Amino acid sequence: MSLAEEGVPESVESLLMLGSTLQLLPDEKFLAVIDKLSIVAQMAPVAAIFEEARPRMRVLRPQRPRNLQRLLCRPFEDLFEARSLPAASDSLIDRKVIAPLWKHLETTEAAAVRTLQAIYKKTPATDPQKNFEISEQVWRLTARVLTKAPIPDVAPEVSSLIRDIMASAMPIETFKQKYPLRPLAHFGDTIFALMREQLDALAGVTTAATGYLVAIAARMASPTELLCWLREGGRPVPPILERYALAKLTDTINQFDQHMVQADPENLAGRAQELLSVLETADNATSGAARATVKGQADAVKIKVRDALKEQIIDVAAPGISAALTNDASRDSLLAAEGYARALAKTRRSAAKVGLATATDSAIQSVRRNCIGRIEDLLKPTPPSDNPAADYAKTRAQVFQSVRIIELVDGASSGRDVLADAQRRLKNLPR
Amino acid sequence: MAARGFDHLLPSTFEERGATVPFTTPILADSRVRKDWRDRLEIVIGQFSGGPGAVVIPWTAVAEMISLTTHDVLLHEEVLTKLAIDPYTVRMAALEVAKSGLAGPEVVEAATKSLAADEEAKALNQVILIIKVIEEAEPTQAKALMRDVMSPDGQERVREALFAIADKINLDAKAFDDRLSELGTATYAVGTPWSPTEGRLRRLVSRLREFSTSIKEWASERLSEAADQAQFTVEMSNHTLKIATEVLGKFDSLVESPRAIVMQWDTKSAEVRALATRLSWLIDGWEPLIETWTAAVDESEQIAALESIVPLLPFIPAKEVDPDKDDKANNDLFGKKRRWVKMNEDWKTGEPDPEIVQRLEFLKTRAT
Repeated sequence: MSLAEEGVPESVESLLMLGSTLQLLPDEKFLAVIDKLSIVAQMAPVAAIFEEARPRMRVLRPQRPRNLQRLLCRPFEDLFEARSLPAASDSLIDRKVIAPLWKHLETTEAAAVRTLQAIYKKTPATDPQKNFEISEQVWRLTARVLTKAPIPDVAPEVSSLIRDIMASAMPIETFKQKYPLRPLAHFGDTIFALMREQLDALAGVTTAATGYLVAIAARMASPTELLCWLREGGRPVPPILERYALAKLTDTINQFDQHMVQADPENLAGRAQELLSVLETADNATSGAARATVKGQADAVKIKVRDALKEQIIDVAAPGISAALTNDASRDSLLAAEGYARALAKTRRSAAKVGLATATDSAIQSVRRNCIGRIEDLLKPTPPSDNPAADYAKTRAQVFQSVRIIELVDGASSGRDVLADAQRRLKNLPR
Repeated sequence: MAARGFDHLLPSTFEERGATVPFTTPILADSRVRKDWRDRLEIVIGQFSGGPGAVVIPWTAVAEMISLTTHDVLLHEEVLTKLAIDPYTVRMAALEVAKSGLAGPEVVEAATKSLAADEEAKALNQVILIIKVIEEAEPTQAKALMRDVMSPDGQERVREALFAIADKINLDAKAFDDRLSELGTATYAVGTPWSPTEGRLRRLVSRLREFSTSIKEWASERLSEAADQAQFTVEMSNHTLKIATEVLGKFDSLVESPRAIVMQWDTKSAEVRALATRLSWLIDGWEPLIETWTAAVDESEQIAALESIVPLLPFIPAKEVDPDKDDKANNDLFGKKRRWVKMNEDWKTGEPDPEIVQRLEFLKTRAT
């Protein structure tokens, strides 16, 4: 059946002819085409185009179309982005599932879907409360439908996961309203208290807790933290959640591997810090065979992190900074020096975890010594000049460049000590 | 009636509220400088305790009590040396310190640009006012002069034209040039509505309006604590915008006739200056918040931006609002603001958190 026969406007059909050339369009036209195509976004040829366009859409942020499918997906939309995670196929939801899921709903609950669609059409986007009430009805309806029969042509475990998430959609959305930031870096006592309350309320609702936990885990920077919390509280850990958390951990490790090659020093140090902190929680989060797997992964990755930090930051920061801080340093050279200084300071926070504490401290002290040496050179008495004011200004600027590097690499108090001494001596210079 | 029991904490005047000092030490991110009853400087720190009310300490004690960044050591000294206690002098002190390089090369670049832009704006504003006087007698010539007003040559021609037509329109060209140049310098930050480039404060009012609209749209389709924070931000910005628009309206109607200002110099020039000063106080503290929101690209960043914006929202002092129209709204907003506070210091070391310092330095690169 052609798109036109399926009721797709001709203009949309002709837009599909664009295919890969869509990426070549300027932003404004690209967004206009996306807007037209969004009405049939779930159809196979359009879905493929959207897949290709998604990275650019993330940057341009086109106005999202309003439809019931979007409301339906909200409780599990965080699991979409994790699609490429290794070895976690049953805990991930592919966007392609939306079309068969919606068709299943329309087939089994045609009248209810029509009614909800009619109400939704009349509700403005600017009434979030009313929209939420409609969403609630859609989620209840979907949970009911999926309890009776799974989605045809979709893996049963994926259908079950969607059913469980739908059954716990209200607490999931309440959680998101209260803590909308994503990914959530660390769960403190307040968040865990809310989760405890919500899980207790779900206790009688078959497997809803599983759906709830997987959906919440998808909002966490480190889902293994959730496993730790469940184990410590004596709560059961659903196997699907453990698989998801471990897959996310493997993905974080893989990302670090890819990132290591192209990252600038500051970014690399930041990623290493994140990764090492994730590994810490992962060790306590797992049990049995999974624990051995995680330990193996963690040991291997720690060696990689150690090597990367040593080769790309610790060994090169001090000479890199010295080379950048020349008397006529350009803005870019100064920024490069700052990047090294920040990277070294970040490395200090995680160095002990990979046995690099001494090496990092030594590199920091080396940068500090070099900068102080440079300040000494700059403040040495010089022969009288024709333009003492200009010379003073230049010397002061160069002294402050070194002070800043000390501050970035060794902290504000270290920078202040050097600044105080430098200011006192600058006062003695002719100007 | 008291607004949730917090109205007694609301300062009376802008001077009592103090002027925002753009420190990079996170705990001082919403701090203000003002004079105490003995005319000595003191600092008002909003986020110090995390509770309602602010902490006030003598300016000279700041460096001993708080671990400052090196940039802030200089800024702290500069404010004290210059006795900077209003938005204009604090901004000048901050730009001077920004040029030191202690907040990085990008901040140096931004500060140098801002200072150069200020000089251009002063020169332009002076001749723009003169052109308005010329327009009364020679509209065609004024139009021609406007075309070239951005160049130094064009600005010189404006002055020549004023002297050439002085007799014709019965005015003392020298006095007009002197006084309008003085007025132009004093009010360049606002500028005139017919200027080819907007004055800095006028531009900030426009940007505040865009900021408010953008956050309102963002909040209108969401249900969450962040949406509540966004809604509150919109209320605060609209409250400020309402008063700023009135001030700008009065300012514009006065500068519409520079000749009248010169003729009644003692009263009218003081009135124009007072309005420009009032606008600078009203808009004080908003620019970094606008930049924080603008820099947030995706939803997560926008939520994080709102969290950092809300505790820093500048409230309007009690006596600076119309008691008949805005008093209750002002007190209500102030009471609501106390709900959102958080600390920004690395609890392990007491040192300024480097990531937050970096964010505050980024805002300095965007400041105008």
